[in-house]
Amino acid sequence: MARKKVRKRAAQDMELNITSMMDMFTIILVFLLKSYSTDAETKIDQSPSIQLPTTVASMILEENAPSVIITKHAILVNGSKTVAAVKNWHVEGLDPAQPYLIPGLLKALSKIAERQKFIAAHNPGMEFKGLIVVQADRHMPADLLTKVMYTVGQAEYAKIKLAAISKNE
Amino acid sequence: MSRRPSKRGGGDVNAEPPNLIPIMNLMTILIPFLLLSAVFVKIAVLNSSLPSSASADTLPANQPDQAKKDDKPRLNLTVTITKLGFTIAGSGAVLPGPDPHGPTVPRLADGKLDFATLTAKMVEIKRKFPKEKDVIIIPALGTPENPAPTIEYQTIIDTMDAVRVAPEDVVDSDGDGKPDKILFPGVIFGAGIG
Repeated sequence: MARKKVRKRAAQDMELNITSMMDMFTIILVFLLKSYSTDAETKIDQSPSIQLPTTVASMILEENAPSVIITKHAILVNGSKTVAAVKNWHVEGLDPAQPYLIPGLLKALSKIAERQKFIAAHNPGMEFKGLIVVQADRHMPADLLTKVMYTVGQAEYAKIKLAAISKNE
Repeated sequence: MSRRPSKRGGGDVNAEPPNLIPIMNLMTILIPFLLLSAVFVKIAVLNSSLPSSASADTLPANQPDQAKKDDKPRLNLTVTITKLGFTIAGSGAVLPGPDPHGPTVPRLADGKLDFATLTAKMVEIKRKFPKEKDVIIIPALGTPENPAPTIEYQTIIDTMDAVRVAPEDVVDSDGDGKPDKILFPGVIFGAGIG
Protein backbone atom coordinates (compact mmCIF):
# COMPACT_ATOMS: atom_id res chain seq x y z
CA MET A 1 0.00 0.00 0.00
CA ALA A 2 2.75 2.41 0.97
CA ARG A 3 4.82 1.61 -2.13
CA LYS A 4 1.87 2.30 -4.40
CA LYS A 5 1.42 5.74 -2.89
CA VAL A 6 5.03 6.70 -3.55
CA ARG A 7 4.78 5.74 -7.22
CA LYS A 8 1.66 7.82 -7.63
CA ARG A 9 3.38 10.93 -6.25
CA ALA A 10 6.30 10.48 -8.71
CA ALA A 11 3.86 10.42 -11.62
CA GLN A 12 2.33 13.66 -10.39
CA ASP A 13 5.70 15.39 -10.18
CA MET A 14 6.34 14.66 -13.87
CA GLU A 15 3.65 17.14 -14.87
CA LEU A 16 4.99 19.92 -17.12
CA ASN A 17 4.97 23.38 -15.65
CA ILE A 18 3.98 25.66 -18.49
CA THR A 19 3.60 28.86 -16.49
CA SER A 20 7.07 30.19 -17.39
CA MET A 21 6.50 29.32 -21.02
CA MET A 22 3.24 31.25 -20.86
CA ASP A 23 5.09 34.23 -19.44
CA MET A 24 7.54 34.13 -22.35
CA PHE A 25 4.77 33.82 -24.89
CA THR A 26 2.91 36.75 -23.41
CA ILE A 27 6.00 38.94 -23.68
CA ILE A 28 6.61 37.89 -27.30
CA LEU A 29 2.96 38.47 -28.09
CA VAL A 30 3.00 41.99 -26.66
CA PHE A 31 6.22 42.82 -28.54
CA LEU A 32 4.85 41.56 -31.84
CA LEU A 33 1.56 43.34 -31.35
CA LYS A 34 3.53 46.52 -30.79
CA SER A 35 5.38 46.18 -34.09
CA TYR A 36 2.22 45.16 -35.90
CA SER A 37 0.83 47.91 -38.04
CA THR A 38 -2.11 48.10 -40.33
CA ASP A 39 -0.49 50.79 -42.47
CA ALA A 40 -0.18 50.34 -46.16
CA GLU A 41 3.58 50.29 -46.10
CA THR A 42 3.74 46.78 -47.45
CA LYS A 43 2.80 48.17 -50.84
CA ILE A 44 6.49 48.45 -51.58
CA ASP A 45 8.22 45.11 -51.73
CA GLN A 46 11.89 45.60 -51.30
CA SER A 47 13.96 43.93 -53.94
CA PRO A 48 16.66 41.71 -52.41
CA SER A 49 19.30 42.72 -54.93
CA ILE A 50 19.43 46.40 -54.01
CA GLN A 51 20.35 48.39 -50.93
CA LEU A 52 17.94 51.28 -50.69
CA PRO A 53 19.30 54.61 -49.47
CA THR A 54 18.35 55.85 -46.02
CA THR A 55 16.32 58.96 -45.34
CA VAL A 56 14.83 60.93 -42.48
CA ALA A 57 11.53 61.20 -44.32
CA SER A 58 8.66 59.10 -43.06
CA MET A 59 6.04 59.56 -45.73
CA ILE A 60 4.64 56.27 -46.91
CA LEU A 61 3.18 55.27 -50.23
CA GLU A 62 -0.58 55.62 -50.10
CA GLU A 63 -1.59 54.28 -53.46
CA ASN A 64 -0.53 51.46 -55.65
CA ALA A 65 1.80 52.50 -58.41
CA PRO A 66 4.00 50.73 -60.92
CA SER A 67 7.60 50.45 -59.85
CA VAL A 68 10.94 50.78 -61.56
CA ILE A 69 13.80 48.92 -59.87
CA ILE A 70 17.37 49.81 -60.74
CA THR A 71 19.97 47.26 -59.72
CA LYS A 72 23.62 46.87 -60.62
CA HIS A 73 22.77 44.57 -63.49
CA ALA A 74 19.36 45.48 -64.81
CA ILE A 75 16.40 47.82 -64.81
CA LEU A 76 13.17 46.06 -63.93
CA VAL A 77 9.57 47.13 -64.19
CA ASN A 78 7.08 45.95 -61.56
CA GLY A 79 9.64 43.75 -59.92
CA SER A 80 9.94 41.06 -62.52
CA LYS A 81 10.30 42.22 -66.10
CA THR A 82 13.84 43.16 -67.14
CA VAL A 83 13.66 46.01 -69.61
CA ALA A 84 17.31 47.03 -69.89
CA ALA A 85 20.67 45.58 -69.00
CA VAL A 86 23.07 47.62 -66.89
CA LYS A 87 26.82 47.17 -66.77
CA ASN A 88 29.06 49.22 -64.47
CA TRP A 89 26.09 51.53 -63.96
CA HIS A 90 25.84 52.17 -67.70
CA VAL A 91 22.70 51.17 -69.53
CA GLU A 92 23.36 49.02 -72.57
CA GLY A 93 21.69 49.58 -75.90
CA LEU A 94 21.21 53.35 -75.76
CA ASP A 95 20.69 55.38 -78.88
CA PRO A 96 23.63 57.85 -79.21
CA ALA A 97 21.23 60.45 -80.64
CA GLN A 98 19.11 60.31 -77.46
CA PRO A 99 21.54 59.50 -74.67
CA TYR A 100 18.97 60.06 -71.93
CA LEU A 101 16.25 57.79 -73.28
CA ILE A 102 16.18 54.12 -72.23
CA PRO A 103 14.09 52.55 -75.03
CA GLY A 104 13.17 49.30 -73.25
CA LEU A 105 11.98 51.16 -70.15
CA LEU A 106 9.95 53.61 -72.20
CA LYS A 107 8.25 50.78 -74.10
CA ALA A 108 7.34 48.86 -70.94
CA LEU A 109 6.08 51.96 -69.10
CA SER A 110 4.09 53.24 -72.06
CA LYS A 111 2.31 49.91 -72.17
CA ILE A 112 1.46 50.13 -68.47
CA ALA A 113 0.39 53.77 -68.80
CA GLU A 114 -1.85 52.87 -71.72
CA ARG A 115 -3.49 50.14 -69.70
CA GLN A 116 -3.93 52.45 -66.68
CA LYS A 117 -5.52 55.09 -68.88
CA PHE A 118 -7.81 52.52 -70.45
CA ILE A 119 -8.97 51.50 -66.98
CA ALA A 120 -9.30 55.18 -65.98
CA ALA A 121 -11.51 55.85 -69.00
CA HIS A 122 -13.96 53.17 -67.89
CA ASN A 123 -13.68 53.53 -64.13
CA PRO A 124 -13.66 57.06 -62.70
CA GLY A 125 -12.36 55.68 -59.40
CA MET A 126 -9.10 54.60 -60.98
CA GLU A 127 -7.80 57.94 -62.17
CA PHE A 128 -4.44 58.02 -63.96
CA LYS A 129 -2.23 60.20 -61.78
CA GLY A 130 1.16 59.45 -63.24
CA LEU A 131 2.48 58.01 -60.00
CA ILE A 132 5.54 55.82 -60.15
CA VAL A 133 7.87 54.35 -57.53
CA VAL A 134 11.59 54.29 -58.20
CA GLN A 135 13.68 51.89 -56.14
CA ALA A 136 17.38 52.22 -56.72
CA ASP A 137 20.57 51.09 -55.09
CA ARG A 138 22.23 53.70 -52.89
CA HIS A 139 25.43 53.52 -54.93
CA MET A 140 23.77 54.33 -58.23
CA PRO A 141 25.32 57.38 -59.91
CA ALA A 142 23.16 60.45 -60.39
CA ASP A 143 23.66 60.19 -64.12
CA LEU A 144 21.63 56.97 -64.32
CA LEU A 145 18.89 58.46 -62.13
CA THR A 146 18.64 61.38 -64.56
CA LYS A 147 18.24 58.96 -67.47
CA VAL A 148 15.58 56.93 -65.69
CA MET A 149 13.69 60.06 -64.65
CA TYR A 150 13.79 61.45 -68.17
CA THR A 151 12.48 58.18 -69.62
CA VAL A 152 9.79 57.90 -66.95
CA GLY A 153 8.71 61.44 -67.84
CA GLN A 154 8.50 60.53 -71.51
CA ALA A 155 6.08 57.76 -70.56
CA GLU A 156 3.87 60.44 -68.90
CA TYR A 157 4.73 59.56 -65.34
CA ALA A 158 5.44 62.90 -63.66
CA LYS A 159 5.02 62.15 -59.96
CA ILE A 160 8.06 60.16 -59.03
CA LYS A 161 8.32 58.59 -55.61
CA LEU A 162 11.82 57.63 -54.57
CA ALA A 163 11.79 54.73 -52.13
CA ALA A 164 14.19 54.81 -49.21
CA ILE A 165 14.54 53.17 -45.82
CA SER A 166 13.18 55.44 -43.13
CA LYS A 167 15.52 56.08 -40.21
CA ASN A 168 12.63 57.52 -38.20
CA GLU A 169 10.66 55.32 -35.88
CA MET B 1 -14.92 43.57 8.91
CA SER B 2 -15.16 40.76 6.39
CA ARG B 3 -16.75 37.48 7.20
CA ARG B 4 -14.69 34.42 7.78
CA PRO B 5 -14.72 32.10 4.75
CA SER B 6 -17.21 29.33 4.93
CA LYS B 7 -15.80 26.07 6.05
CA ARG B 8 -18.30 24.02 4.13
CA GLY B 9 -17.74 24.60 0.41
CA GLY B 10 -14.16 25.94 0.21
CA GLY B 11 -12.34 22.67 0.55
CA ASP B 12 -11.00 22.38 -3.03
CA VAL B 13 -9.97 25.95 -3.81
CA ASN B 14 -6.40 25.17 -4.86
CA ALA B 15 -6.98 21.60 -5.87
CA GLU B 16 -6.78 22.07 -9.68
CA PRO B 17 -4.61 24.53 -11.65
CA PRO B 18 -6.34 26.36 -14.52
CA ASN B 19 -6.19 24.57 -17.82
CA LEU B 20 -3.74 26.61 -19.88
CA ILE B 21 -3.69 24.37 -22.96
CA PRO B 22 -6.27 26.38 -24.97
CA ILE B 23 -4.38 29.60 -24.26
CA MET B 24 -1.18 27.93 -25.38
CA ASN B 25 -2.90 26.91 -28.61
CA LEU B 26 -4.02 30.47 -29.16
CA MET B 27 -0.50 31.80 -28.55
CA THR B 28 1.15 29.36 -30.93
CA ILE B 29 -1.25 30.43 -33.66
CA LEU B 30 -0.96 34.17 -32.93
CA ILE B 31 2.83 34.32 -32.75
CA PRO B 32 3.58 32.97 -36.26
CA PHE B 33 0.84 35.19 -37.64
CA LEU B 34 2.22 38.33 -36.01
CA LEU B 35 5.79 37.40 -36.96
CA LEU B 36 4.72 37.17 -40.58
CA SER B 37 2.98 40.51 -40.60
CA ALA B 38 5.59 42.35 -38.53
CA VAL B 39 7.34 45.20 -40.34
CA PHE B 40 10.94 45.54 -39.33
CA VAL B 41 12.13 47.83 -42.15
CA LYS B 42 10.00 50.83 -42.85
CA ILE B 43 10.20 52.06 -46.41
CA ALA B 44 9.40 55.71 -46.96
CA VAL B 45 8.96 57.58 -50.21
CA LEU B 46 10.28 60.98 -51.23
CA ASN B 47 8.28 62.94 -53.74
CA SER B 48 9.88 64.43 -56.76
CA SER B 49 8.46 65.85 -59.91
CA LEU B 50 9.84 66.49 -63.35
CA PRO B 51 10.76 69.92 -64.67
CA SER B 52 8.81 69.32 -67.87
CA SER B 53 5.56 70.91 -68.98
CA ALA B 54 3.91 67.58 -68.28
CA SER B 55 3.77 68.48 -64.60
CA ALA B 56 1.45 71.39 -65.40
CA ASP B 57 -1.24 68.93 -66.49
CA THR B 58 -0.97 66.96 -63.33
CA LEU B 59 -1.36 69.94 -61.01
CA PRO B 60 -4.48 69.61 -58.89
CA ALA B 61 -7.39 71.54 -60.35
CA ASN B 62 -8.36 72.93 -56.95
CA GLN B 63 -5.47 75.37 -56.89
CA PRO B 64 -6.84 78.58 -58.35
CA ASP B 65 -3.92 80.54 -56.95
CA GLN B 66 -1.55 78.60 -59.14
CA ALA B 67 -2.13 80.90 -62.11
CA LYS B 68 -1.83 83.96 -59.89
CA LYS B 69 1.42 82.71 -58.52
CA ASP B 70 2.83 82.30 -61.99
CA ASP B 71 2.46 86.05 -62.68
CA LYS B 72 4.97 86.87 -59.99
CA PRO B 73 8.62 86.32 -60.70
CA ARG B 74 9.45 83.00 -59.17
CA LEU B 75 12.50 82.31 -57.13
CA ASN B 76 13.65 79.29 -59.15
CA LEU B 77 15.81 78.16 -56.30
CA THR B 78 18.42 75.70 -57.44
CA VAL B 79 20.94 73.65 -55.53
CA THR B 80 23.77 72.27 -57.62
CA ILE B 81 25.90 69.46 -56.24
CA THR B 82 29.42 69.75 -57.60
CA LYS B 83 32.79 68.36 -56.68
CA LEU B 84 33.45 71.57 -54.70
CA GLY B 85 30.22 71.59 -52.72
CA PHE B 86 26.73 73.02 -53.03
CA THR B 87 26.02 76.08 -55.13
CA ILE B 88 22.73 77.77 -54.28
CA ALA B 89 21.21 80.05 -56.89
CA GLY B 90 17.95 81.89 -57.44
CA SER B 91 16.53 83.77 -60.41
CA GLY B 92 19.56 85.41 -61.95
CA ALA B 93 21.85 85.37 -58.94
CA VAL B 94 24.13 82.97 -57.17
CA LEU B 95 24.36 83.05 -53.40
CA PRO B 96 28.00 83.73 -52.58
CA GLY B 97 29.82 81.51 -50.17
CA PRO B 98 32.86 82.16 -47.97
CA ASP B 99 34.99 82.36 -51.12
CA PRO B 100 33.29 84.63 -53.70
CA HIS B 101 34.45 82.42 -56.57
CA GLY B 102 33.77 79.12 -54.86
CA PRO B 103 30.55 77.29 -54.09
CA THR B 104 27.98 78.62 -51.61
CA VAL B 105 28.52 75.73 -49.23
CA PRO B 106 31.98 74.24 -49.69
CA ARG B 107 32.76 70.69 -48.79
CA LEU B 108 34.05 69.97 -45.31
CA ALA B 109 37.74 69.48 -44.70
CA ASP B 110 37.39 65.70 -45.03
CA GLY B 111 35.74 66.01 -48.44
CA LYS B 112 32.19 65.30 -47.26
CA LEU B 113 29.31 67.50 -48.28
CA ASP B 114 28.17 69.94 -45.61
CA PHE B 115 24.47 69.13 -45.27
CA ALA B 116 24.06 71.03 -41.98
CA THR B 117 25.20 74.32 -43.50
CA LEU B 118 23.03 73.68 -46.56
CA THR B 119 19.99 73.31 -44.31
CA ALA B 120 20.96 76.51 -42.45
CA LYS B 121 21.16 78.42 -45.76
CA MET B 122 17.80 76.95 -46.80
CA VAL B 123 16.26 78.14 -43.53
CA GLU B 124 17.56 81.66 -44.27
CA ILE B 125 16.06 81.58 -47.76
CA LYS B 126 12.76 80.18 -46.50
CA ARG B 127 12.49 83.03 -43.99
CA LYS B 128 12.85 85.55 -46.82
CA PHE B 129 10.58 83.70 -49.26
CA PRO B 130 8.00 81.95 -47.06
CA LYS B 131 5.69 81.18 -50.00
CA GLU B 132 8.27 79.30 -52.04
CA LYS B 133 7.89 75.55 -51.99
CA ASP B 134 10.01 74.31 -54.85
CA VAL B 135 13.69 73.68 -55.21
CA ILE B 136 15.59 72.30 -58.18
CA ILE B 137 18.39 69.90 -57.38
CA ILE B 138 21.04 69.52 -60.06
CA PRO B 139 23.71 66.87 -59.71
CA ALA B 140 26.62 68.14 -61.79
CA LEU B 141 27.41 65.49 -64.36
CA GLY B 142 30.25 67.28 -66.09
CA THR B 143 30.83 67.18 -69.81
CA PRO B 144 31.51 63.94 -71.69
CA GLU B 145 35.14 65.01 -72.10
CA ASN B 146 35.54 66.11 -68.53
CA PRO B 147 33.12 64.16 -66.35
CA ALA B 148 32.51 65.29 -62.80
CA PRO B 149 33.10 62.80 -60.00
CA THR B 150 30.18 60.44 -59.58
CA ILE B 151 27.45 61.60 -57.24
CA GLU B 152 25.76 58.65 -55.61
CA TYR B 153 22.04 58.24 -55.20
CA GLN B 154 22.46 58.33 -51.41
CA THR B 155 23.97 61.82 -51.72
CA ILE B 156 20.95 63.00 -53.69
CA ILE B 157 18.57 61.59 -51.09
CA ASP B 158 20.60 63.26 -48.32
CA THR B 159 20.46 66.56 -50.20
CA MET B 160 16.69 66.19 -50.60
CA ASP B 161 16.40 65.57 -46.86
CA ALA B 162 18.54 68.65 -46.18
CA VAL B 163 16.35 70.96 -48.28
CA ARG B 164 12.97 69.46 -47.38
CA VAL B 165 12.80 69.82 -43.63
CA ALA B 166 14.58 71.90 -41.03
CA PRO B 167 15.49 70.71 -37.55
CA GLU B 168 13.56 73.59 -35.96
CA ASP B 169 10.39 75.55 -36.74
CA VAL B 170 10.93 78.14 -39.47
CA VAL B 171 7.82 79.82 -40.88
CA ASP B 172 4.18 79.00 -41.34
CA SER B 173 4.04 77.39 -44.76
CA ASP B 174 0.86 75.33 -44.58
CA GLY B 175 -1.35 78.19 -43.41
CA ASP B 176 -2.40 76.89 -40.02
CA GLY B 177 -1.01 79.90 -38.20
CA LYS B 178 1.84 78.01 -36.60
CA PRO B 179 5.41 77.88 -37.84
CA ASP B 180 6.56 74.48 -38.99
CA LYS B 181 9.69 72.71 -40.08
CA ILE B 182 8.86 72.47 -43.76
CA LEU B 183 11.37 74.15 -46.08
CA PHE B 184 11.08 73.24 -49.75
CA PRO B 185 9.15 69.99 -50.16
CA GLY B 186 8.70 70.27 -53.93
CA VAL B 187 11.92 68.82 -55.21
CA ILE B 188 12.46 68.95 -58.95
CA PHE B 189 15.32 67.22 -60.69
CA GLY B 190 17.43 68.82 -63.31
CA ALA B 191 20.39 67.52 -65.24
CA GLY B 192 23.31 69.84 -65.24
CA ILE B 193 26.59 70.29 -66.96
CA GLY B 194 29.28 71.84 -64.89
